[in-house]
Amino acid sequence: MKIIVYLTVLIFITSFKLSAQEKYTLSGTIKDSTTGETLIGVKIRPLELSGIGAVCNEYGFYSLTLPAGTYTFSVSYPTYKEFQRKITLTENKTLNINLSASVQDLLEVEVSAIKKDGNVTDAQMGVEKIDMNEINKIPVIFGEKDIVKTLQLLPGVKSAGEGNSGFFVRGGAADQNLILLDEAPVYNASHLLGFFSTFNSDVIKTATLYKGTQPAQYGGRLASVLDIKMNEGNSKRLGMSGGIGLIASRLTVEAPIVKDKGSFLIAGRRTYADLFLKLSNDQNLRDTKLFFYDLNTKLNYKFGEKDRVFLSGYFGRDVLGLADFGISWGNATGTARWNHIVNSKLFSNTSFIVSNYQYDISIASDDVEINIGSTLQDYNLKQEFQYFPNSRNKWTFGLNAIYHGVVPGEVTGNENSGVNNEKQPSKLGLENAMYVSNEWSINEKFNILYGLRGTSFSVLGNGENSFRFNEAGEITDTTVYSQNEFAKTYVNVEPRIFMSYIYSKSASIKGGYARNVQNLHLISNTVSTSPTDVWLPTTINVKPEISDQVSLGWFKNFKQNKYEFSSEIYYKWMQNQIDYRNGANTQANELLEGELLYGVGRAYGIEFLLKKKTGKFTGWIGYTLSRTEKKIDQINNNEWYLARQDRLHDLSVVGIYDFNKKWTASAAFVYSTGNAVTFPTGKYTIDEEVVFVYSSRNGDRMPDYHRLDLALTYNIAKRKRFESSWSLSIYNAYARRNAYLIEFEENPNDANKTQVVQTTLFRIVPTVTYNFKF
Amino acid sequence: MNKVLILTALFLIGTVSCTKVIDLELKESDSQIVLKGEVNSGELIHSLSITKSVAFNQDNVFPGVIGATVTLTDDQGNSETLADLGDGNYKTVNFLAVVGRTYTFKVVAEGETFVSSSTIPALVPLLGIDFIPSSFFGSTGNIIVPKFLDPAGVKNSYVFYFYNADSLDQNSGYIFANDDFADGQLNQQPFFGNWSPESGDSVIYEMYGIDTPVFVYYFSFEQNTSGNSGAPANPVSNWSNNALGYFTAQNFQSFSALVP
Repeated sequence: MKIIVYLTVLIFITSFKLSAQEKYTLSGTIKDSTTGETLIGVKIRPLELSGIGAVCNEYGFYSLTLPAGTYTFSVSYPTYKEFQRKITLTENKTLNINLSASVQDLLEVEVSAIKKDGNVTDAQMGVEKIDMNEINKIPVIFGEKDIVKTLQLLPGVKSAGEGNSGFFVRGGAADQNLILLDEAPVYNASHLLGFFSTFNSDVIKTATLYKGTQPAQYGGRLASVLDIKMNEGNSKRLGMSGGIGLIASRLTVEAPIVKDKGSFLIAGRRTYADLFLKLSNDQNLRDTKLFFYDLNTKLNYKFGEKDRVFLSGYFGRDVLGLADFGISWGNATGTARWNHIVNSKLFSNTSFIVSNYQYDISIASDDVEINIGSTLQDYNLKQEFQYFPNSRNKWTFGLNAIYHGVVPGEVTGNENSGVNNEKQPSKLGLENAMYVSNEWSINEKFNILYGLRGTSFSVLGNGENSFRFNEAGEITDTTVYSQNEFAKTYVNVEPRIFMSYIYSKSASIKGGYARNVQNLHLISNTVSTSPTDVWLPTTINVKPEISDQVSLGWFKNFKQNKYEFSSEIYYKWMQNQIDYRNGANTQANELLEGELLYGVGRAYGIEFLLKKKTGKFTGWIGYTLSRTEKKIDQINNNEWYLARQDRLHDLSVVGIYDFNKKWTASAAFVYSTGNAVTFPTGKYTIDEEVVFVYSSRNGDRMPDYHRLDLALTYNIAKRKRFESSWSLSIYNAYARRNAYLIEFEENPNDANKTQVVQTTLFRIVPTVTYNFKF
Repeated sequence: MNKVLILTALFLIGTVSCTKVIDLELKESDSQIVLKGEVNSGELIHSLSITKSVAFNQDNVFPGVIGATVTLTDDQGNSETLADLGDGNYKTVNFLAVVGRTYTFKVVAEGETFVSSSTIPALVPLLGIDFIPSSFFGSTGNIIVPKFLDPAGVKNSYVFYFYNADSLDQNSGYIFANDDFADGQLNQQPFFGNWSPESGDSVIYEMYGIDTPVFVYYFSFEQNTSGNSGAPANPVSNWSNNALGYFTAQNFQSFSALVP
């Protein structure tokens, strides 16, 4: 309650800064004139007043309040023609702007600058915006362009493994990333056991990663938020695009429902390796299933000038089947949103979001059939307001309620299976959040972004036994809470504050602090995350995870913003971190919480990024020096030890060269220290087998990892509206034998010896891809 | 399991992973005591072995520990000191093991004391075995389904072991299971081992009833040695004082049959 009072006061303070002069508001939406897609992050500014302007929000809406007068409003955005219009502001006015694509030569087109010097001036730090143009040019394994793999090339972000689309941000675990697709959380963002992300980059409009420094409207994970927004669909005419690759093909269709009023988009992607298996002579191979697919849809409609409704959905599935055994898993999300322009200064968005993840394992032979599965389902209601009181302030505030339901395990079998049908009691929880955030440009030199997020998580009863455990994992108490009864509520306050001080025209120093709280936990004890890992909400035993991060950064642009340099240093403390007890049974275990151990973590490091953004040659060098440690009760004698993802050095070098309109070449080089792992320190014999002795957790290192990828793209001359291109990419061009696994085994030639065997997944992988668009 | 899936997936998408024997410098821990004790119901002779661990790069020669004092007691007050066979193995001479009793080994070796207890669970009768012909990726064989009725309402853990009576090298290896999903059911599950018998083979099928700590040992043993574990560790031992290994007091029965 106190928070509300505090916020109200804050809002009033900034609102009362009214001067004697009359002020009026110019507001509207900025769109692409060819496709009708709204544009995000575009800046509109009056040329007469320096340092003042408004930036479009995620729905393309802007609001700019200025003293009465005549101004020349200018909008400039990369790859678009500059827009200018003189307007006399003597009353509140609406100005909807359609930007048309630039006719400039491709080579002069600026890549990636949204607000050319925004990286220096904005108070926000620890943020990476992915440029969708770059994604198409960067080499990638199997030619499947992937936003997550592009992210992994940025400082502070590390790949979860060879060819893997999982990632670690600033020492966080893979489950500490909140991945949002049109506001809906995606719980398992990878396909084919991690080799591909679930995001079809053809339909993505923007992707922004906050490295634990997210403003108060985001919450729920410790390490990062990856906010992905889908295209809306062409509202002017029918458009199609797609691609044919080695692994998968993609097709996107978009068209207006009613021209300029509404549009839809539908995109699909499917792999087809399994189709070739059908040609095999071997019955078993013919019966083998291996594919994944994604389906993205979006529909939007404008009711009058002030209201717009969006429906978006995602459905993806992986299917893997070998003879009698099959496993399938996937996410489904749905988002319904209603944008309402309350007035020229107040923008409202209401969202209802459903998010689902499930897996299903089936074993069938002759007359026996057994199914094992798990489901996670969220219902999420969100109300957000954006308030633009004057040209120096933007307020964002709102409420959010999420109902989480997790069925950790369910086993069903037919009557011949000899298996008892068993459904583990659901884990239920209600997560509420209330937030307010203010972006305030105090003067030419100081910007501040601060906010507060209040969250509560209520553990709800399920009508079954709830157990409490002692340190040894033994049950100490059994209570039955009735369905949806409040068993326990955890309340947390998460302050966030970031400041920038612009000390020269193109350089600034930023500093900030953020607390984040996480109430859904995924603890994997295998090398790669597995589709069968269980998400566990906060319970009466499992407390919310909490992180506190401080960071300090130096930002500098050179040569008219052609080059960007930044360096950020961070330190993060983590509480209530979770790990498994040694020998824990994690599959369909009713007493899973008794198998958990708790502790703390810390992560610190320094990141450097030098980026060249314009010209024929673009690219960047990113380097991170970091450390990540954990201290978990009963592990490693309660001493600090390195987290698996601790990699001291992490370097990425990316270069893209546009020779001319037709040819583009690119290269990416990565180098990193190997993961911290546990190797044997001896061996012994038992039951006539040789077994290895392990001493301290993560006391050893995998070998260093490095790799060079190359790509060459040929754009076929545009005919009418039809554009197409061929891409050749080579993954791991110098065939480095990177270690994927290191295993210890008996020497097959000499039973008296043991040996160390290294598995390398990919040596050289060349791929050809064809893409088209019309 | 996960690794099998990944490698299968990669094979199917046409990429071949490669393996290579490498030299790797490994840290060395101090040599540790390894204890394996076994008490079988209905028998008089029970054994315990004491060996020590060696460094990874040494030969697979594991020294036995001699001169230790080993005693076996049960919860009825019976006790016997085991004879030292001089090669790291110790044996009782006349100590009848009975279902339902708890047995305790006490070992004093190299100045340290190690203790472990285990209880022989009630016998679940093995009613017979069924053979189901099968083929998997071109190889043929028989899947074996042991027939037994799991008692309802009690936690039961089992170990299965089957082998070719004419060739002991052809064996399943130890297979462990519990009744988490099949409490009170007539067993229908095949338990897969390293060997699948063919028509005409003479199969001896052994079934052991073990207590829960021994099941946890087997479970963690498999989990930690599968190669895909994120944090491999020593299996959870039921010995005190950080000794490696385990002690099982178990019931035992066997069934032999000719594969049709």
